[in-house]
This record gives sequence, structure tokens and C-alpha cells, in this order.
Amino acid sequence: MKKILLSTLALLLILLLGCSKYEVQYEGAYDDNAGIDVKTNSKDHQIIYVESGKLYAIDPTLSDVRPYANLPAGIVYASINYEHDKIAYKTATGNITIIDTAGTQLSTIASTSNVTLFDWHPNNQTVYYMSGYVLKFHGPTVKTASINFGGFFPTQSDNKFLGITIREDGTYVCMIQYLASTYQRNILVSSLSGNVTQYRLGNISNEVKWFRSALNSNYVYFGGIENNKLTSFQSPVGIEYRDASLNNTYFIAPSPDGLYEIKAFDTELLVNIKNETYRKKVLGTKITALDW
Amino acid sequence: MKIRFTLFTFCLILQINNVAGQVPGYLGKRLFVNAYATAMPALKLPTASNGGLGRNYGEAENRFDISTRFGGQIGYVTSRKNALTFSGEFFKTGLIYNAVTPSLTPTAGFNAYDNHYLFYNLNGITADIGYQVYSLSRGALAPMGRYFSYHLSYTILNGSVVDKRTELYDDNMKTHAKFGINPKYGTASIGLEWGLNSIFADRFLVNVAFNTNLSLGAMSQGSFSYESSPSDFDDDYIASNQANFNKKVAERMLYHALFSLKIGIGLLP
Repeated sequence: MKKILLSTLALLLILLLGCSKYEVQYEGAYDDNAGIDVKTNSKDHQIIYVESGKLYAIDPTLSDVRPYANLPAGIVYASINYEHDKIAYKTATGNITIIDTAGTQLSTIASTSNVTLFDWHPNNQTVYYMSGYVLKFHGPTVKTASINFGGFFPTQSDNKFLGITIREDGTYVCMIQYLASTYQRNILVSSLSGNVTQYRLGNISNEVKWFRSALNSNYVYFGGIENNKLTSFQSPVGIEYRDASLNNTYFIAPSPDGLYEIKAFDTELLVNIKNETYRKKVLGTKITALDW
Repeated sequence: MKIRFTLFTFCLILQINNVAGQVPGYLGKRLFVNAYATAMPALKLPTASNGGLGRNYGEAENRFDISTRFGGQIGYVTSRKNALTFSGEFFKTGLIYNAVTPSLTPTAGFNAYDNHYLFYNLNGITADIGYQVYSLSRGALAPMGRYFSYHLSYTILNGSVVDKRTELYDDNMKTHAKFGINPKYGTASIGLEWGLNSIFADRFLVNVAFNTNLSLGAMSQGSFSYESSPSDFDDDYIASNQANFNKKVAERMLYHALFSLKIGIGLLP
């Protein structure tokens, strides 16, 4: 009986010791429903991509995808301006169409059905595009270096512009291709006065698939050359080949401030800071356009 | 003489059969019920009231406190030396966790985060099945005497934030993003118990035991030597917060029930 009594007392003691209350030190109890749901109140949808012929916008946390359901099927190319309020897109055979980020059509650019290179000028209003190897503009007039591109093609066989980006001061970085027994590719960097510095890339077997630059345009990304190796160009540093592990990266775009980059790696979208992945989203298929 | 010897041997065999066929249980009572508490000093992680001699939340200093569990057990003697037990337990404990959310400031850069230093209370409910083996060599007879038992249990823990200190990236923001954490976590455990049951007045039972439980969820989480930080964000921040929360809860569960002393009082109805 004594053992029962002692055990009962021990049980009561444990109960008392184990039931003391927590004393609040800071903000006290919190219910997570009081927080803001980032997925529904996300920041701007600053990034766009084209997957299976459809245009999508996504926020930098890669958590909230906004499909543009009212647009025609078969979109191949797309570009968003640096202010993230206008998008230019194009189907394989259609003209370049400009919409706002709500999806409302603003205008189309006539006679651009054959264009494959277009992007937004840093003024956020003007679209520039390559028609053959003539640089054209749609929107408010912008200051650019006046260049006769013809002089940069020593042969007249398979001349092609592979990529171009215009910088805020009106200078530009572009890549050209020509055939001189083998395909040659050069990077041209212009000054405002029209002087051009050429960087010869030599014989490169693969196509350049994309060309993207940050708003300050000191850093230009392009790829699709040398077995899809991700490549960047920084004026005046020159060509820089990135880590070989990024070989399967087939699109990359810097954020307007140039601090971050989004890239498409196989069927994944990745947001990176200095090559470190911060966000990842798995897609169904490989994309055909990417911009930030 | 030969007939007498044969008769004696036959009677002996009958007696042995009779002993082996004795009804299991204490005086034939096979069922036993037991209310118990377990206790162990909190040496590494805080209790629900933020006590303990290890890590404590906020400015609190170390103070002696115990990690407890309370439960009820029903047992059924299956043979002279074995019994099957079913138990239900509940407990409460503390958890320190750092959550990170992206800043909601529109002009913030992409690596702008709000940091949240949190203290959770975790409420746990456990269902347990045990198999007791009594030591007949020491005069035991289930459910009386020294025993050793194997346990398999499953625990569901549910957390709530009882204190929080948020450091906003931008102090002008009056709010922050949701942590997005589902505070429920379930884990199986395996356990061993060494105990002694004493019976009084042919009806009352006193149980004293030492037990150890190993949370399988904690084992599957690997190392606990980490702190949540934005560099963990190989996926979206909610998934990272959730994964790190689960790790911390698994760790807390492991240390809460790793070793404990048990005292129970019960009845043989």
C-alpha cells in the first residue's frame, strides 16, 4: 500500500512539473493565416516564357504562374520590356504583336512575319528587330549608333544576324554569321560614334539561339554555340564561357538590374544568384523563349 | 516395487501437465489497466514552458525542467510469461524554429528576406503496441514481476506558435509573407522497456520502468546540425520552410522520448 501511495505522489509531482506555462517574451502567439499569402499576392510577374506555344508570366519566386489564355496558339518568340508592363510576342509565321501584361493587345508590327530577332529598347516603349540584316524600330524614336552592317560581311554567303541587344546609351552588341569556307561568327560592339570593335569567335558549329542583356547592358548572355555552352559577353572584357555543367542550359536571361538570372535547364526554370540556385520550377517541356 | 515406481512416475507426469496447464494471469486475472507518467530531465532542447538545461528560446536562462508524457495502458496476459499491451499517450513539448520568408517590399531585391524566430508548443498523441516478456526465473508470473518489452508506436505532433520575433527586411512593412508551414508531423518509433510490476491486495498494480524510444522519422532526417537560411531554398521558400520544420520536429520528438523513467498505478479488474 505504501508503494501505491508513493507512486501516486510521484505521478502528481510529474504532472505538476510538466504543466508549467510558457511566459511570452516577444510578440506572443501567432496564427500563420495572419501572414500574406505570397502565392496570391505575389510581386510583379516579371519573367515570361513560352512553353508548348503558349505564353506564361511568372513571379521571381517561381511560385505563381499566369498563363495568357487569350493569345493565339503557336507562339515561338517573346520578350518583356525592362519595366515589365509590355510584352512583344510572335508566332512562327505571324507579325510581332505587342500586348500589355494584362494580355490586352496594343499593336502589331506590319511586315515582320520573317523576323526572329526582336527585343525591347531600354526606353521600355520601342521594339527593335532585325529584318534581314537591317535594324528597324517600332515606337518612339531612339538614339542609336549609325552603322552600315554590310561592311562586316566579307563574303555574301549565308549572312545572318544571330543576336542583337541595344544598350541604354544607344550602343549595341550583336552577333553576325557569314560563310567563308566554314561558318564564321563575330561579335560586334559599337560605340555611339559608329566605331565597331569586332570579336572573332571563329568557326562555330551550332546556332545561337538567344541573346539577352541586363538593362545596363554591360553584360550580355548568349548561347547555343560550342555544344550549347552557356556564354556571356561583357564589354570590354570579352567572351566568357560558363561552367560546363551548364551545357544543357538553353536559355538564360538576366534580371534588369543584372544581379540575378533565370535560366532554362532541361525542363526546369531556375533562378540563380552567382550560379547558386535560389528557386526552381519544373516545366512540362522545353521552352522556346525566356525573358526577365 | 516396479508397479509402485510406474504409478509414481505416472502421477509425476500428470502433475507436470497440470502445472504447465495452469491458467495464465495473476490468480487467473489476465487483464490489467494502468495509468502512467514518464519523466526525464530536459537536457538538450526546451520543454513546452521553455525550461530545460540545454537550449532555451529567447532570453530565458537554463532552469531544471522535465520532459513528460502521460498515458494509459491496457494489457492482456497471453501466457504465463507474456502479455500484450496497448497504450495511448499525450505530451507537450517546446520547439525553437527559424522560418525565412521573402520580403514583401515591392522595391526589395530578390534576396531580401524576413527572418522569424519562433517558439512552438508541440502537442503529441501516441498510439503504442507492446509485447512484454516476464522473467520466470525470478519468480515472475505475468503481469507480476520483472519484465522486458518491445514497443512499436506512432506519434502525431501538432504545433502552434506561442511566441515570435520577426526581423523584417524593411521595417516600414507592417506584415510579412506566410510561413506556409503545415505544423502537423507524424512519425513511427520503436522502443524497449525494462520494468517491474508489483501487485498489492491481489488487485492493485504499481509499475516502475525505464524505457527508450527511437523516432524513425528522426533517423530518416539525417543530420540536425543546420539552421534554416535562404541558401536552403533549392525549391520555393514554403517547401524549404516545411522541410526544415519537419526536421526540427523530428529532432524534438527524438530527444523528448529517447530515455525516460515511468511510474504507473493500475488495477487487475
